[in-house]
Amino acid sequence: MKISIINGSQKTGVSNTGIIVHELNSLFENGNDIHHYTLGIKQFAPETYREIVSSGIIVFAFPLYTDSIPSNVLKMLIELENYLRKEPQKEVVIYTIINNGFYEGKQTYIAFEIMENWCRCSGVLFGGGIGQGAGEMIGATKNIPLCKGPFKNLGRELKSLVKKIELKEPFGIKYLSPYFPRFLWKYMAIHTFWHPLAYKNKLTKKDIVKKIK
Amino acid sequence: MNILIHDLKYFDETIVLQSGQKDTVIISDNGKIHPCICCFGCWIKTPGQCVIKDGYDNMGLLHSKCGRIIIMSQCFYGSYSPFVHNVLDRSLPYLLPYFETKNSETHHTCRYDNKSIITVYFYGKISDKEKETAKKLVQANGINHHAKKTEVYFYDSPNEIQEVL
Repeated sequence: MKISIINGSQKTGVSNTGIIVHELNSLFENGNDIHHYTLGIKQFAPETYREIVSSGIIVFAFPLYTDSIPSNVLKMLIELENYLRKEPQKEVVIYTIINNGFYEGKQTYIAFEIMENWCRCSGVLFGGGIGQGAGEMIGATKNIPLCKGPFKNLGRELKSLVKKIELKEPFGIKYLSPYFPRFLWKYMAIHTFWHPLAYKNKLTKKDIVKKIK
Repeated sequence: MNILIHDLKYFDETIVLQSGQKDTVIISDNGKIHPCICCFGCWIKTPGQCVIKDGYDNMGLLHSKCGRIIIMSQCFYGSYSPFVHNVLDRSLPYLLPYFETKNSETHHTCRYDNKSIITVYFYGKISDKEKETAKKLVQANGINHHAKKTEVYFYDSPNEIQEVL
């Protein structure tokens, strides 16, 4: 099975989306022909769109930006729609994995609706996917395998998603929050993530909340 | 002060000035906007200021001073155009890295005390499904940006919007 996986993170270096894509990739059977594309902040060359749709299965993975799809991914989707209108394809199925910085995976639901609307406009099939919460925690706990710890439900659902992708069947949408209490996640995010990052830059708590005039 | 963010190639700015909105800051596409790379520099390096210096790095500060954010955007699949979306993404310095819970959902707390009205004028050939998505998107943006109120309107062409401004 030929599969195109597009990492739509706009981050430079290691991204939480990249960690999820890496895990997804490791779950596919060996016989699959998997092609990886990283969008970053540039756009694909025109010939890349032909390559991407030739697989018949496309997996998009990206972080949530402003309750929606990152602007660069949106730009790419517009180009891909234009390509698909000129060169309609038979039975292209789209799967999507969206992670967001808030605790609740459910906050990705509007981005899923946008993806579904895009599929309708582009004449391809919406196969659903996974909306994951606490995205920054994925990077912070990257040494814990996704089959264990706070993201064991993500590990489990990625396995189920891979099975559906290999059969080219719809998956539905699964919204996931971590196996971790929300109050503790909030506390950890501040005290083990944001504050240490700011302190490294010699900032104080007062500096972080500064109002610019 | 108001902010008007638009994606039009040709926009008659005198319309805004003539309608008594002289204190409106117009944000348009000069082709040089850089995407937000989620580096969080606006929270942990230079709090309140975006580290990407491309002329769109003061969005947080502008938001803090405005009473109304007016958006004119082509609607793509129920979302904004890439340019308008990019400008909104670059408004992250308006918020803080801290969280609060509203209606059982986590959201970022706000750096500033002002609360603005967000008015969005979408244009283009927009399906009913896309209109529904767009309404939900603007409402969610309103919650995340601590807006006082959100309003959404749909038009077939940008010229119609310029008439109602």
